[in-house]
Amino acid sequence: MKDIEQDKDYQNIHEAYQASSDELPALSVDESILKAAHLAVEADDETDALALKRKHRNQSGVDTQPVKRAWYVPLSYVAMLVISLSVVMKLALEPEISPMPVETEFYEPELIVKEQLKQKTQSGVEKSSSEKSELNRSHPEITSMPESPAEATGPAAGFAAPNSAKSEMKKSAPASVASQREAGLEQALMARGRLESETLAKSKKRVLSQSTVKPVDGAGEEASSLADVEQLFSGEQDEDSSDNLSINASSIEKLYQSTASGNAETLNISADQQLLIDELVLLFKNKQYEILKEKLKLYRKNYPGVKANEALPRNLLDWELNNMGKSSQKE
Amino acid sequence: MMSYQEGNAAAFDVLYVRHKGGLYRYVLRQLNNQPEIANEIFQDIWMKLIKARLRYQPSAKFSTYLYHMAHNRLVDYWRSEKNHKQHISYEDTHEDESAGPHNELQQQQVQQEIKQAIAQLPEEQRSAILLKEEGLLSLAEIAEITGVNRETVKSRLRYALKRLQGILHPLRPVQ
Repeated sequence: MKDIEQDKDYQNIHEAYQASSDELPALSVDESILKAAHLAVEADDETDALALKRKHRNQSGVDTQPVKRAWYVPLSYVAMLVISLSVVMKLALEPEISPMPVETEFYEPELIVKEQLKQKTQSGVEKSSSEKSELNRSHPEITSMPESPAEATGPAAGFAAPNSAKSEMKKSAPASVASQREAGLEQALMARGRLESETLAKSKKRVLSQSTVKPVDGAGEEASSLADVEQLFSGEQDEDSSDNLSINASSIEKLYQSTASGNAETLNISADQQLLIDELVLLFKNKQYEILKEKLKLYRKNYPGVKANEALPRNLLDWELNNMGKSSQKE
Repeated sequence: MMSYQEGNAAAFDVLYVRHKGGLYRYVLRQLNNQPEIANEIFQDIWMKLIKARLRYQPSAKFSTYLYHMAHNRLVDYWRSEKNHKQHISYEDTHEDESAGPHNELQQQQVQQEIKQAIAQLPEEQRSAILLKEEGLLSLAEIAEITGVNRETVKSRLRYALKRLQGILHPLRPVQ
């Protein structure tokens, strides 16, 4: 740089240029620029003052945006109201969905239990009857006893028979064999009676507890039925007594027939017939129709007559009429 | 400028008076002595300075800052004009016919020749010589403004002087 500045030619040019450089901007331009500069400083002061005021306001805790803060609270309330109303209206206008059909047919475990118990007791009875036939062979005096319960008269004939057999056996049979067989028969009958009394008492209680169902023994006999049930239970306590057993068995039979068949008056049917009827009813309820047909045929064969029809439930009779024809009932 | 930044309006007045002549002539020469455009651009430069007063950082001399802004504004102008060189009209020189005595006439003739010679210089060389003459800036400051290194500025100045000597030869010393 110093080289250039020391150059003589440069010095001449520099001097000539500086001598010619006297131009200046227009006065209006000067004024406008200076005015703008002063205005800018004033504006700065104003903005500074405003900023200072704002700062003071913020420090004093005065709400600077009251309107902005106020609007969204009512808006949220309105939105909630609209949404809830729309939901309610929608639910009200929607068609009601029909509930699932309730299965009216209810499961009756008691019947199954009863059937099982009866099967057990039946096997016990069969066993006892085979023993009895054996006893008859060895002691022909016992053959005077009715062979089947159907031959006996009265509902408790099947249960009463062993008692008479017992007395007869006591008289004639040898003591050792007779006492063993007697004990076996007694036990079997007692067990049967006990089990039947339990189940029947329970079913009776259930029937009585249902307010819509009236006791089938007759109008106004609820108290007496209850008394019978209580009597049954009380009878269970005296299991050793064979007389009580026979009484209880007859009561059970009476009650059971009245509850199971639905007839008002007690039918004169045997225990075996009743067992078969129960089995039929159970098969009918379980919809085991093939076996039911066979059993019905057996029933008709064993128990002909109009009384056998009366012992059967109405719905079973109807089913028989529809599926097996009228001839089967006549048989 | 720092004083003006802090809100002292009178400081700007001083600043303006100090730099307005040199800056105006720098712009005028760059624009081939067109006073109307030069006034407009000159005003723009100062307005920009006023607006940018709060962002001003005293990292260099104020004149460097000012001429840097002026240079950028001229570049923008030339870009907008694109063919700014076509505007250079060597006939568009003012010959004051009402010149008085012979000496004055001769002096004005020399000054006019210098202006014409500068106008004929290439843009880079013209910028360098004008920044040196009007802004009274050093090589480093010119280099910073024009965005080149110091040696480039030096060579541009040398070329410019040679060219001016050739144009103005034989240059008569100003009496």
